[in-house]
Amino acid sequence: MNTIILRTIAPALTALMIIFSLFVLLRGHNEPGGGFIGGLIAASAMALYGISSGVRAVRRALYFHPVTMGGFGVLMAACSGIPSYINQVPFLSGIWWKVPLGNGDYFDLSTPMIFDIGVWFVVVGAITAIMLTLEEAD
Amino acid sequence: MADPNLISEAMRTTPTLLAEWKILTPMLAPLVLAAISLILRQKDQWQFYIAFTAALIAMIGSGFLVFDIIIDGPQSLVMSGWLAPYGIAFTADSLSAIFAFIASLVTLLIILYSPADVDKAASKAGYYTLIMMLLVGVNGSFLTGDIFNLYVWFEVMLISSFGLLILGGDKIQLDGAVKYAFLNLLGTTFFLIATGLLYGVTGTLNFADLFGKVAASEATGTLAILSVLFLFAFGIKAAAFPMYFWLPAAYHTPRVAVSAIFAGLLTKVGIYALMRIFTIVFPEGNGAAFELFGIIGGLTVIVGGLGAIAQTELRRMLAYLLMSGVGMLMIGISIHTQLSLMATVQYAIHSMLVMTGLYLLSGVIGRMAGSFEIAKIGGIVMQNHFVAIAYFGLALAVMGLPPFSGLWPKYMMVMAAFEQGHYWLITAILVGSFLTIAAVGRASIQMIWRGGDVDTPDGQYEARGKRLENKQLRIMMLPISIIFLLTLWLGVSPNTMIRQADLAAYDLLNVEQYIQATFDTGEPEQ
Repeated sequence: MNTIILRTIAPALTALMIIFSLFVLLRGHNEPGGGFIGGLIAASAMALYGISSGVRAVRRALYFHPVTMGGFGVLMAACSGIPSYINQVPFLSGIWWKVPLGNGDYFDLSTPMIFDIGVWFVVVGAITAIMLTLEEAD
Repeated sequence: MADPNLISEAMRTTPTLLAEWKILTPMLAPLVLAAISLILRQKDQWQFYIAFTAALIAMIGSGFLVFDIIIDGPQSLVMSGWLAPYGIAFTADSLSAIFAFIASLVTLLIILYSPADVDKAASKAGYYTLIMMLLVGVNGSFLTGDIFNLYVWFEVMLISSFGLLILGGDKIQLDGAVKYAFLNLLGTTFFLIATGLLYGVTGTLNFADLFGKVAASEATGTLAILSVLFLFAFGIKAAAFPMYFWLPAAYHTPRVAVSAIFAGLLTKVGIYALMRIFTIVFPEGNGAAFELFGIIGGLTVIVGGLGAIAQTELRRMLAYLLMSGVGMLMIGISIHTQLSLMATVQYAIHSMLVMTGLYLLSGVIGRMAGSFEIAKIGGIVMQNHFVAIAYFGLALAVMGLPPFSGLWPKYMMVMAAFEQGHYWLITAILVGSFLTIAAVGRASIQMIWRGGDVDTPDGQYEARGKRLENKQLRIMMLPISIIFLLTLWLGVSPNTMIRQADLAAYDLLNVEQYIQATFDTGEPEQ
């Protein structure tokens, strides 16, 4: 698989896929997409990079250990239920904040989005950890 | 904006109080701390403290829950502000709360034992994280108010238990894990199929909602099959008679602390699920299931006792004793009166504590003798009186002899069977108890009193065991001593346990309060 075509194109394609995965993650609330599928796309990007440049390059690019990313994701998803406590609604209720952008527009920040980003981290972390381990065992 | 009346029918409009969050702490605290321990897994010296905190918070949370339920009746919280049956409900009655409390306590004791049994590598590989996730799954199963979520929590528990079972990666562990994983996945698959069919028949999966809908449903044939499917699925989890093979095949393979937490918690979750489903979903038993429970329970008690006598390996013997205890619990569900369910709850609490204690003690004995083969263990009484006394006490408890906690539930179970005229169940209980006494008594004569291994002549003392370091022995004996004192206390002064078990049995047989709590909208009574 280690052809020059793949090695040349893979880094660019990886970057593109990660941007696309973030796009899918953020559009998830109202349209098809979300943390799980976005995470899968990002994990595929890591797999592609791993096939072309090797496991060590992927580990270096990730900086954090994939399992740490997974743990961070679980923590984030679980903590997205905490603002419910301050608002006196049951655990994991959707709470929306309107963040003004200055020019009259608002950016909608919400606990479901925090939850989804947590899911994204869990999926990227778990799938990448499994993939890198299998790749190293070869 | 939607019609406000429509919203108040499906969504909660009253504020949620801090007190209502209590029901979440037994799951949320270990979950958050498990995530933190995963992030910090290279710092293996912190792992123990994180896990200890998690189990402690879970125990305190569920302890408060127990008291709240004694005062106010069952508690419920529905996620995300939806109302039951649309939202995901957590509902706890006396049974769920006391089980969650004992499960958290058992986990706490096992975490206390762990430093003596778990090396750095296992700790870095996620031992403490998996223990915490196991607690999340177990407490979730106890506290959930809906069958599908019961399935989800079962999965959380199973996946963590797979991880714990193969931690270390010995050949024998993988062998045990394959049997364990296969049979448990089979059980889970049947559970999921039955859940799907139940949804098809009734259109709901919330326990409280199912109560009326199953009784009103005309599909009695399908429901009868479903009840048997649930019995089969949870029978596998609980290791009841024809589906028990995975338990003795797997429980002696992992490290001792893992065997102990499995013995204390996993089968009891299967029993809890049976108790819950066969009181609120199928209160009539449907499909002659109660007679079936009795047959399965009686056979499990006897086969467990026979298996215990036949074993030559200490931990395999304990696995069969555990199974025999599961049979007792099945008998209690089968008789299905206030007294028998009370005995079942008591026996479950007793079994969680005592089986954990015995498994932990088997670790000490195995370490002292350098082997788990009963033939090779000997002279424990001369090496360490303290260990011998602890074994003696826990052995009396598991046999059901006074002054330990095994006596009362067994006595009440026999009384309940007598009241209902189930004479062959009494026979099964007594034969099972006799076999247990024989097995445990034989093991104690050989391991504790015999001077050395199997060829040592009478009257000679030549134990070749190694002396444990004092520090390590102290770590290992602390949780065992706590269990010893607890079981002694529950045996000498059983009132606290009887009162709590009585409440739990009452809540099981009178589900109105449970249903009321689940559908509670938080609005004041009018």
